[in-house]
Amino acid sequence: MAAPRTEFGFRALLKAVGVVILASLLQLKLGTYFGWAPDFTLVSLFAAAFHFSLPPLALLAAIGFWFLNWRPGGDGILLFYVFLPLAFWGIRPFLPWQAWFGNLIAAAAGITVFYLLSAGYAAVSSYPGIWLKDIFWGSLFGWLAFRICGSRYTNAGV
Amino acid sequence: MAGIGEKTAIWILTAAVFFLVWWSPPWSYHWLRERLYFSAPPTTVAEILAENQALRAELAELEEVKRAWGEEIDIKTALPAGIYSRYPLNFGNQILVAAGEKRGVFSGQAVVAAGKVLIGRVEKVFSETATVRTVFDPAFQIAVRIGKDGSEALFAGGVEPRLTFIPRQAVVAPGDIVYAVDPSLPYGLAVGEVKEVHFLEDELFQEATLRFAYDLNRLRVVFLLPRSK
Repeated sequence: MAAPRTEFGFRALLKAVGVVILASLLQLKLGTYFGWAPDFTLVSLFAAAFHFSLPPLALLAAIGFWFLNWRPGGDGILLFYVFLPLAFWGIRPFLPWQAWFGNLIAAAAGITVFYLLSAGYAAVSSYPGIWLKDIFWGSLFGWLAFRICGSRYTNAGV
Repeated sequence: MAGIGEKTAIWILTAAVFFLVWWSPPWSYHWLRERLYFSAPPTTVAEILAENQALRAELAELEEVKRAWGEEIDIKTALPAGIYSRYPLNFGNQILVAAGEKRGVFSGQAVVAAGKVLIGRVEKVFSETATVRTVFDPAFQIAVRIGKDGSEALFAGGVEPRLTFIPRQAVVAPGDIVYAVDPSLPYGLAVGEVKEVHFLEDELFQEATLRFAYDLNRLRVVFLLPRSK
């Protein structure tokens, strides 16, 4: 199996850091404004998983974790924000779709898996409106993040 | 930029960020949250009183809550604490307040705003901060009474908090005040007002939604009440 194709340059990494910071700030601000928080940081990390190798992706995840962390010592639930994108990085080369489409699927599936892991099935069944809104806006932001992180990427890297 | 040296540097940087999260020194923590995320909480007594007054004016819309307030919070005994940050994800509603073990905060302590309106309960205490589980958190549940009749119910927190297990024969109407009677909290703290009441399908119990005059996201300071005597 060929090694996953990655775009790993200093400028690209800086761009991705900017995207993750922007996503985190938007998530915090919109969370207080709308009453529900779009998982922009998570989807921006999924988008980054298409463009970077493991070390820079881990750094991006750590930065997102630090920006979102709201209490001393770190919130355990937020660790899913780190592990889910890293796990996705491992399965990304096996996705059968074009990368841009894979990114949309990853955003929707990632948000759903995060809901199930952090709050159980009740999170989806009790508040389907929030879940669907999160998927819609998350996919949209994920698409933007994907384009910003590296527009040259055209396939799933296999 | 693909070299073993660069990769090692990135791993070290990653570890450093994780260490920063774990360590959470005040200079990295409070500075960011006060300046980037939210406006800085009031710090002087005058600012706190002004904020308190503004919130009381908003709460005055709830007539029954206003009547049940009783005396104003005694700022000499209640501990004012600014809100540093909030839980950033869905399906949880907690805040981090700027008072901790060093100022005598303890787990389970009642947290109120303005005229003794219950905001939540202290969950975890750190050296200089504490997390508060608010009434909008799905895991927040307390025993309450409703209105003048004092019908018992269970307050269940969440995105849309509600009153459950209201007895079938209880007379509950929109506008009735809801107050805490939980043994872990000071008696009679106002929680909110009944908004709508309806029977459950089995008609054994009633359920009600609540109205809150305050916007938790706009609160910048809360008061931690001393232990009940």
